[in-house]
Amino acid sequence: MSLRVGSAMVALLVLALPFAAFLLLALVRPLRRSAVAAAVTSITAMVAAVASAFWLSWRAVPRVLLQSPSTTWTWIPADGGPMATVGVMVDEKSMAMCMLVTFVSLMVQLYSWAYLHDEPRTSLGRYYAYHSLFAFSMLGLVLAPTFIQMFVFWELVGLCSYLLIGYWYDRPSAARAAVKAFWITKLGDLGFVAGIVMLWVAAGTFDFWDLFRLANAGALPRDGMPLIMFLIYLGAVGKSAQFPLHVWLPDAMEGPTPVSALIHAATMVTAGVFLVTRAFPLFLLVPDVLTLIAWVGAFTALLAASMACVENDIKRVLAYSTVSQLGYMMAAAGAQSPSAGFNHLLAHGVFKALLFLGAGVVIHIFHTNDVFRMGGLRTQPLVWVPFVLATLALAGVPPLPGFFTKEAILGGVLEAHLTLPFAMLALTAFLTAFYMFRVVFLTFFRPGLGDSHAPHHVPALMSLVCWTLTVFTIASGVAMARQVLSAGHHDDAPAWLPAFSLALAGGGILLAWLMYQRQALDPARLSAALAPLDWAARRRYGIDAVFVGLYRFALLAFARLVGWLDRYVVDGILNVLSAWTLRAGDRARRLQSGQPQDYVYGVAFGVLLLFVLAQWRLR
Amino acid sequence: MTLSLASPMALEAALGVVLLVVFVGALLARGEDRRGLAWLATIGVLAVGVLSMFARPAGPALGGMFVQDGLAIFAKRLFLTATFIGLLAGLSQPDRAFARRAGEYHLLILSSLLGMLVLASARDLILLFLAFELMSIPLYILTGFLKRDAGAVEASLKFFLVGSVSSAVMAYGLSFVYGAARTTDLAKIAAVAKAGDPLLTLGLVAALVGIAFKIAAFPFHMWVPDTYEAASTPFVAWLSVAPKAAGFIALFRVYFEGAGDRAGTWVPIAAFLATVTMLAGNLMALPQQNTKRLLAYSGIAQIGYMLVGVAAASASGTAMVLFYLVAYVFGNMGAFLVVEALARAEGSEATTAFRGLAQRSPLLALAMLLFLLSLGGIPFVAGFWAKLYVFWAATERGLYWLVLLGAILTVVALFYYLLVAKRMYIEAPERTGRVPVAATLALSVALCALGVVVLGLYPKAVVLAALRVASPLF
Amino acid sequence: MIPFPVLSIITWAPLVGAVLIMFLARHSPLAVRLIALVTTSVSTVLSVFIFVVYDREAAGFQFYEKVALVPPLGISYEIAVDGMSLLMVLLTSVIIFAGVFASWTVKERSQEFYALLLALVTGVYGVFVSLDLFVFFLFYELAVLPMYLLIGIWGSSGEVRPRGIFGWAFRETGVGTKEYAAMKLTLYLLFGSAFILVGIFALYVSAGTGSFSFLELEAATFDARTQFWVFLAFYVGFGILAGIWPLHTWSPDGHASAPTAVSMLHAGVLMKLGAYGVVRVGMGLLPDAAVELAWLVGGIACINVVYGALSAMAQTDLKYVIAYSSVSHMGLVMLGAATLTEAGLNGSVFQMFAHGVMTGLFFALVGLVYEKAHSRAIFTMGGFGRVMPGIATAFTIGGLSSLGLPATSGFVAEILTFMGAWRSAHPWWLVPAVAGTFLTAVYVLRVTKQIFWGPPSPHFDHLEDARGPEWLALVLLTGVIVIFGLMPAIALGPVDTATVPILTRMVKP
Repeated sequence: MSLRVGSAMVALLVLALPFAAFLLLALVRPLRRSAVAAAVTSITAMVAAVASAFWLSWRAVPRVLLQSPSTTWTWIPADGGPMATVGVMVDEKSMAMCMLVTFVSLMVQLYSWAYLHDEPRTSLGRYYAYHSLFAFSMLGLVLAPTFIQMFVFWELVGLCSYLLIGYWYDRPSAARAAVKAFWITKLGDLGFVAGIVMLWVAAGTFDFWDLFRLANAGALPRDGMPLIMFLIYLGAVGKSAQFPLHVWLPDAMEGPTPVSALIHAATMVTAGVFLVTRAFPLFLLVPDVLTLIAWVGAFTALLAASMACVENDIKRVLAYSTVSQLGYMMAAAGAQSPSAGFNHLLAHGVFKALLFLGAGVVIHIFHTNDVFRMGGLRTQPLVWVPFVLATLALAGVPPLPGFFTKEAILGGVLEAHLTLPFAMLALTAFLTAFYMFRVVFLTFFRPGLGDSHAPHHVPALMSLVCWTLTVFTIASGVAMARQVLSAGHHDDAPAWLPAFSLALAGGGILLAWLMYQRQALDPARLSAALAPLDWAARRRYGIDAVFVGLYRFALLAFARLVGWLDRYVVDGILNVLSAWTLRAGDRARRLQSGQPQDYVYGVAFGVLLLFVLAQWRLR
Repeated sequence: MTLSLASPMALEAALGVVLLVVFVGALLARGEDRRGLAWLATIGVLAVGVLSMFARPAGPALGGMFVQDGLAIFAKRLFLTATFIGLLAGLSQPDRAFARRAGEYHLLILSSLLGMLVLASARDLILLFLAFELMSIPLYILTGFLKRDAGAVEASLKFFLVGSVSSAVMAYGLSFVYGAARTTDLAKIAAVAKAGDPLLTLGLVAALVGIAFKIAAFPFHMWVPDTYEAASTPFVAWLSVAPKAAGFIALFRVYFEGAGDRAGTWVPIAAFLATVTMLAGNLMALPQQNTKRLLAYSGIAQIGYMLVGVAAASASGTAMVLFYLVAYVFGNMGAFLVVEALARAEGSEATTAFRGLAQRSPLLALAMLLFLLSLGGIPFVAGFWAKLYVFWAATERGLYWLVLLGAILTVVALFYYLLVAKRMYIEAPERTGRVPVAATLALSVALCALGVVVLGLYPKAVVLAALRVASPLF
Repeated sequence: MIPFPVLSIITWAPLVGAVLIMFLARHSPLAVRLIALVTTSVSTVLSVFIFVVYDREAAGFQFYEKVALVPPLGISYEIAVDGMSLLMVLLTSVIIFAGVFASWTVKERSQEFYALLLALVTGVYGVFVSLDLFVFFLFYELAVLPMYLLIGIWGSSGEVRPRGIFGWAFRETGVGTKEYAAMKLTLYLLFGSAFILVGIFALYVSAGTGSFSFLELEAATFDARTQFWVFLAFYVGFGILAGIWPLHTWSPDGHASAPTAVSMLHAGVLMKLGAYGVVRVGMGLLPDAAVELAWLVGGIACINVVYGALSAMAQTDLKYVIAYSSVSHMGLVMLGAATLTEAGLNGSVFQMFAHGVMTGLFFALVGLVYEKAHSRAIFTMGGFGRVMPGIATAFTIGGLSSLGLPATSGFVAEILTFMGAWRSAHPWWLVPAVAGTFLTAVYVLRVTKQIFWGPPSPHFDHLEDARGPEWLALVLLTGVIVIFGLMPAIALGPVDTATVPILTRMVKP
């Protein structure tokens, strides 16, 4: 008990540190205006947060949960007990996420200092304030013991993403991307909020622990649940960029590269996966929804991978690969092996962040995002080793983490007898290896522009961060390898699976090498062979166009119609009534002819009226 | 003094004395300027007014034809107040005719006032009719007092013509009543009325015409706009309130006191008159550009609201009408007097004359605003309580539809009242410098404003008094 | 418990200020502002004070005062506050306090301006605290009328092109001018008050207790028919002020034409006054009819939410956008009330507060932007974020609150409304409610992006950020939004004590 309370306090501390940093930066103007002070504040807080998060998960995570791991306080009071509570939930999942979030945040914040060095000093304060706010929100999300708190922070991370995508708000493209991201994710969140509200009405609580107990006791209404859980899943669709709401993520690359690394690769976008994992006991009640999740995830993975193959903007390639990997994780959850997906999430968080930061380095060197205007960095291992290692991890080459987690996912999907999704995921694995190495070869090894201005100066801080992450990637990979070896190959998955997935990765790498390094195969011929597919993929399968069309020609047009009706019909009727009254007055005035005889007639008429009325009523 | 006060006809007697004095003065007076007489009359009325404050209910006189009950005293105080304000405002009229012929002018007004006082106490049809005519006939003459002004003469002719027609119908009706009841004593008629003789009802309905004409209910209102527009404003201010109040007193006497416990029978007719009068008055006021005509029509609408109270046909209803009359006296007279002040300065009675008044002489504008709000029935001025009280009385009778209609029509009314407010406050002044106002006129305006505000903030006393005097009627 | 008549002081202090301004502060603009500031701060401080010392355990009506006005008619000056009116009084104080600062720069005829403004505020306070329906009505009228002059004199005219089959009527009534807007607003609201008046009288008569006191009428019971019609009358009467569809059209024109402080006060507080009336008088006194007619109230409210949001999206004039957003949010308020659930009703009351502060902030900001850029046409502006970061930030916070982003008061109100809606007898209400929040997100962010983001145009380089007193207004309002968003309990505690009794008096169908 005391342990629980103590760990809750530490968790609150983890939460409080970045929040304090944010408040300081937001309220204390001088602090915000001087870049150094801002960065120092934010980074110190993060360091402390990392320390406490690691300390907490090292000593205070109950392995077996006998009583609720949550500590909660009343947030919305009501007559019969609180209507909503907030607090912290300290268990393995939240702790793992805490470590990931704090660690990557710290890395990215350090990296940003070097990367954004040319920014106007005054606006860096804003940047770090947003970062602290994001760290706070993301931690609040992962520590949330109740759906409502999760939603609160869910929206807050969305806000941070909006603000940071639009960090260069005077670039129209950035502004557009930020708003787009907010709207699309908001669409999903509508489902989320509706879902938790319905769940509250059905179960009477937002609290995960209570809900799980009710679910195990079978006390939740069976009939309502599919709809509820589907709506909640919609939230994940938006946040984790599942088809068809994935369109915002590639555009989100308008933000600074470190932001993409942190928010749009490592942490925020994985919130959806975390949601499904966290609420899995509830999803278990609705197998149909789970199947749907798996299918959508697999499809998303393949779709995104195919688009990544034809993309030339290095950041966009990475964005699509993120979407694709998120699809992987979702598919795993859908296939009822959420832990596989969750592990992939953690591993992916690290090496995808590394990929983005590495991309940041080359962008820093070439001042362009176009992979065809890069190359010739073979001579600088300091630059390319981290990126290539991360790529290998992503492609799924042992003993790097990606290999193990992916294989677990494929195994899980296969177990669930989701054959077609399995095929899609397998194909995706192949494509992933292909497009990632396409980027690698084009960016680093192809003899080209790079040679002219070598050796390139890369800020020490940036490479330091990259190497740290590299170390972590390898370490985690090794750890997983040792775990697998010690545990022996887990029995239920078929024995051919590791070899198969390795073959997929190898095949992809080989193809990329042939096409872009050896130039043995002409890319143009391939694309010609797959002309229709190529054509569609380059146009993002028209999905963005659909959204734009809906916005412009459905929503705005309808709004204009309503506005017109309000002005000229609803209000018009009112104006007509008042105009009529005025006219009536004018008519009535005409009775006043000024002729005496008319007046006498008036009197006579009145007398008549009175008599008639008397006859009629006074009996 | 106190002795004669005790006697029921003390006030009438006192007014008679004033009348005589002015008459003698008029005979003796020489020279072009005879404003002295005006002052004499004014002070005389003031004195009688002060006297009326000490008047107490007394037993019937003239064999029950004449009673000095609470209602009568209440009404007489009202008449005297109104007349005093009217005369006070009239003192400074620029037109030479008022200076030279002040004698006749004030004799006429005083005799009309005498008619009202008697009317308030008349509990016999004969006396009532006499008093009614005594009140009315001077008004025709006064309307055409400026005989060089063709408009005024024409107006007075119309006024007289239609007035005499309606008086004729009234007399005709009263004769029916006599025929049915074999008496002219309202108390006895009330006893007969219990039987509900159709002839009696017919007669009373006919008699109603005369009163409806006097209070200018639709469709007997047609004389009002022309008369108001043509006649001299201080007189109109008085004409627009005092005789109407008298008309209502007569109404109560004949149709409530004279109907005994069958007063309820009049509800439909009163409700009908109220409806058409409110509608016509408010609608016709909308397009008016001349302030006096505007006030004329708005006055008709106000009568409609009072008829809502009458339609309640209850003690509370009557009381609320009495309160309304008090509020109306101050509000309406005040509005007319401001118009007079402005007309003297600007030479125009159009609403455009009010442009930017708030910036020229804020106090005058404020006073006008108060009067308009009072007429419109807005909180913290007399009119608000007046309207609310009559509506309240009507709801007690279950006339929700009538109340709703009246309340909605106040919105229409506010439209034209606010248009004047707009001219004063929103529009820019055409010329600068404050509007000169004669002392006596300013004083009378101030009195009205005071009345409106005091009644608005502290209606309690008057309401209680009205309730006290109205209850014996039922 | 309090030795002095605290509510009376809160209520009348502004009017005293108005009188002082009229008579003492001729030709001295500074004195005018100082008097206004002092008197409003008296009210503000005291309302914060009562908010703190209000006994949440005892609940019910507190700080009770009573003075008989006209005994025979049962009219008395009877005032007190419960959890609900407590919050509304606080809201009024916040808004007017900010409003005084926001209109610091009013140049022309500032004496009359502040006098009328303060008179208006007394009316608003009076409505919220008075327990005697008659006095309630009196204050109600007082709160409506000064609007005419305030808008008519200090307002700004817009441009509405007569179109459609009703074009002729637009020409005859002069749509678009400030005079038109002022007249429309005043008369429309007084039209509503006609129904309220009839309703009050009907209650008085059919209760037969010979008293207008809310407490005595609450004790009385009314038959179904009376309840039905009276509730309908109240709904129409108060509903007009609450901007229910299709009786809302006074609000866009009125709010768009009104000067800053007046828009703040009107959209921020007076519209709430309508909703408050429906809840306090309608539901409080006529529980059965409230249950019977909930479908109507809620249905109309749903139309409000979506319709208002869509209309807001269609506007090109910044002030109209905000005005229509009020229509949409008042829909949420009414919807929450119509759910007749604890969550919904609390959400409704909290929404009144949240939206009041938020829209007050919005109108203050629009006023500032207009004052600096001399434009309200959204699509002629752009890139203001560079030159006026403070205003941009405040606008963003307001916008986020309006689209119901967590950590702003808007979210708490909305989630409670949703919860109530799904639990109510008409669960489908949840759909338009949720859709409304998305539409809000669309138009708010669209406007924010258009005005404050994007490349700064050289045409607007000279603009500068908010100054001195204006800052106070912005900081105060944004602060309230965030604090009540993070800690809703401070408001919901007392509110709950007031709403639960109302609900317990209703017999659920």
